[in-house]
Amino acid sequence: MLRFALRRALQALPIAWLVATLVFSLLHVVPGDPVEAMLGENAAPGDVAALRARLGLDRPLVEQYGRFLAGLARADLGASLRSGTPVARLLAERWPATLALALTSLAIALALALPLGVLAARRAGGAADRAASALALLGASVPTFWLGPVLILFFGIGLDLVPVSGNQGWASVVLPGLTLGLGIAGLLVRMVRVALGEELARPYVLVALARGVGGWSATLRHALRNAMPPVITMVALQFGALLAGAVVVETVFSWPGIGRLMVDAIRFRDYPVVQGVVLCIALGYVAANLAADLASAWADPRLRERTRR
Amino acid sequence: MSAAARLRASAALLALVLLAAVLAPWLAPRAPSALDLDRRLATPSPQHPLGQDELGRDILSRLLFGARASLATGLAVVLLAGALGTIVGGVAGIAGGRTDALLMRLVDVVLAFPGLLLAIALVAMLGPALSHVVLALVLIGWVGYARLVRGQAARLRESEFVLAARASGAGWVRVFLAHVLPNLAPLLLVQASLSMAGAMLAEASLSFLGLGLQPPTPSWGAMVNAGRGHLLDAPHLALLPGLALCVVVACLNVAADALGERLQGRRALPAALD
Repeated sequence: MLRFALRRALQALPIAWLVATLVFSLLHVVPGDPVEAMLGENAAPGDVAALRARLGLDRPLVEQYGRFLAGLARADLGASLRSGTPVARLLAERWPATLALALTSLAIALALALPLGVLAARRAGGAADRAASALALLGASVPTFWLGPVLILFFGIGLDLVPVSGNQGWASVVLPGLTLGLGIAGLLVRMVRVALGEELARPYVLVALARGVGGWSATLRHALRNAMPPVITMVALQFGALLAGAVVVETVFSWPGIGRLMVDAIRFRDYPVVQGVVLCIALGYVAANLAADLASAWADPRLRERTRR
Repeated sequence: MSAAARLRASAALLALVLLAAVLAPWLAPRAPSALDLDRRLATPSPQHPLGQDELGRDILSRLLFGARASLATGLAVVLLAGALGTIVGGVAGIAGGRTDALLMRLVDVVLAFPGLLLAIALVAMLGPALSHVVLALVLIGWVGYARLVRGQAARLRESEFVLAARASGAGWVRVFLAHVLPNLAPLLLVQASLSMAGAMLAEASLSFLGLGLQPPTPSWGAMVNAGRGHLLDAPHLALLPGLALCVVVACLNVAADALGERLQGRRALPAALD
C-alpha cells in the first residue's frame, strides 16, 4: 500500500506542474496589455511602467515563467494589486470558510444520497428508486445561482429558520451547503444505486444470504463496501467541482471564502489574486483525486495489484 | 413513462422553447430593453402578462429574448466543441500510437481543472463578452467528445466492415466519415444533449457573475442576479428566468437519458460540467 501511495503521489506531480503552467499562461491571454487593462486607458505612462516592472512583465517570458515557478516553491504567489497584501495570505485567510462550505455540502450530499441510493438499489422501481431518479434529475438541472435565492426565500425569509447571508456561526453554512450539495447528491445517488445494484446481483451476496446473514446485513456489510470505490472516486472528482461551484454559491450568500475573493478580484482586474485562487482550487482538485485513488485502493486491494505491473 | 414517451415529451417541450426563442421578436409584447420607470416592479397586467422588472421592462419579453441568448450559446458550444472533439478523437483513435498518446495528454490537462473554474478564469482574463463565453466553453467542452469518439474509433478500427472498406481502397478519412461516424451518431447525440445542458448552465452562471452578455441585452443568468435584490418585494424577478432555465436543462437531461436508455438498455449518467 505504501509503495502504491508513493507511486501515485509521484504521478500527481507532473499534473500539478501542468496546472501551474496553465495558470501562469492565464495572464498572457489577456487581450492587449494586461497592465493597461488593470490601470485603465488613461493611466500615466510612469505608473504603467512601474506596475509592469512590479509584475515582472518587462522580463523575457522564460524568465517570468522561472520566477513564477520559483515563487510557487516558496508559496509566494505575488501580491494583490489593490491592497498590496500577499496573495498567499489572502488565500490562507479565506480558505477555511470555503473548506467548511465544501465539506458541509459533501456531508449533506452523502446524507441524502447514501440512504436513498441504498434503498433504491434494494428495490428497483420502488418509491425510493423514483425519489432517487428525481433527485438525480434535479441535481443535474437546477442551477446553484437560482437554487440559492429559492432556498433563501423559503427557509430564510418565509420560515425565518436560518441566516441568509454572511458567516454568523454554524447555522449560516446550512443554506449555502444545501445549495452546493444538491447537485453532488444527484450524481452520488445514481452512482450508489448503480454500483450497489451490480454488487447485489453477485454470487457472494447469495452465499451470504444462504449462510443466514440478514438481507440488510448482506447489503450494508458486504455489498456496500465493494460498491464504494466508484462512489469514492466520484466524491473526489466532485470535490473539485464543489470548489469551483463555491465561486458562484459564495457570491449568492456573501460567504467570505476564496470564491468571493475571486469574483471581487475579477471585478477589480486584480489578476494576481485571480491566478492565486485558480491555482489554489486546481491544486486542491489534483490533491482530491490523489486522495480518492488512495482511498479506493485501501477499500479494494485489487486496484493496488492492477497498477503494480 | 417508457423511454420513448420521455424522449417524445422532452423533445416536444424543447421544440416549443426553441420556436418561442426564434419567434421572440414577434411574440414579445414589448422591446426587451424598453424602460418604463413609472411602473417599476409592477405586478402582472394584460399588457405585461408576467409583470415588469426593476426598471419597468416587460419580463415576458426579456424571458423570450433571454431564451435566444441561452439556446444560441448552448447550440454554438455543442456544434463547435462537438466538431473539434470529434476530429481530435477520430484522429487519436485511428492513428493510435504516439499521436494518440499526445492528444490524450492534452485531454488530461483540460480535465485536470474543474470545468466551470477554467471557464470563469478564461472569461475573467479575456473580458466579459458572449463570444468569450462560447470560446471558453468550447475549450472545455471538446474533451468529452474527444474521449467518446476516440474510444469508439479505436474499437471500430479493427472491425470487419472497416477492414473491408480499407481493403477496397478507401482512405482513412473516407472510412471515418462514411463508416465510423454514422455508427457513433446516436452516442454523439446523447453527449450533445448532455453537453448542451451543461453549456447552458455554465453560460447562465457566468452571466449571473456578470461575465456573460452585457446589459441591457437580456440573459437568464443576469436576470436572476438583478432579481436577487428584490426577493422580498418582487420574488418573480429572480424566480421566473431560473425556472425557465431549469425546465430547458431538465428536458435536455431527460432526452439524453431516454436516448441513452434506448441505445444501450441502460440509463446514461447525467454529467455535470466536468
